[in-house]
Amino acid sequence: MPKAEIRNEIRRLRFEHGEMTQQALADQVGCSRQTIVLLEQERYVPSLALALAIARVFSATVEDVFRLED
Amino acid sequence: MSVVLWGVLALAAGLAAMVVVGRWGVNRSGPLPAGVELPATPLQRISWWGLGVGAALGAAAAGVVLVHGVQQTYDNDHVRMFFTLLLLGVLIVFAVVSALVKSWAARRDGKLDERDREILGRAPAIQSAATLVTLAVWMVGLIERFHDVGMVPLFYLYLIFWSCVVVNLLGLPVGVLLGYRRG
Repeated sequence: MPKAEIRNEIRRLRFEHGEMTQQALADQVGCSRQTIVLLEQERYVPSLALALAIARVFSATVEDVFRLED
Repeated sequence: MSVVLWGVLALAAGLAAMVVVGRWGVNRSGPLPAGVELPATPLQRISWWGLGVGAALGAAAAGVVLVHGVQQTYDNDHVRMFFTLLLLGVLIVFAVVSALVKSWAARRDGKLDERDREILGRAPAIQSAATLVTLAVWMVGLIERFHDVGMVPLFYLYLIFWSCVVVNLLGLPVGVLLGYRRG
């Protein structure tokens, strides 16, 4: 399988949800703000559990937040 | 070269091995864009603290050997006691740091997230490499120095043991801090 990139819409979704801060999102999903920064910069690929937790905060599906890019 | 210098070289080589092994898999995706700050995690902060205090105590112990010499450090009870207390201080610092990190890991309240746990799990890889390099430098140094005599004074066992302990203990926070550089 060719190497794929995981893109995400976390930054856009945060702003669409009352300009939620990175810290607020980190507190809700149980991770550090550093991890949220790296996720938004697409330098870290989260586990399925973290991806589901982030999607739940935004009342979205995982596919609405993350997408696979070949 | 004097054996004390070989000892210092052994410690330095062990620490250098940590950095080399730790940088092996460093992410080459470049620096973060301007204006993007990476806040330190609790694990990162306590690793810096543990490394700083541990390295200071280890350096002080190495300084005692450098000032008094190997023979005097071993023969003089007061000097040997002070040297040993400094190194026991390194052990205590890392025991406290380890206990704190274990309590964070047990609580699962977000203080250690999945990335922290991943980094923490990879960090010990550096310790074994650094300890092996330290032992290798001691072996080369002692063979070069005592080759003609055919035997090594007993107190070098004491120094070999403690240098390996210090390098091994410092290896963990170094491994953690280098792990965060992977991005």
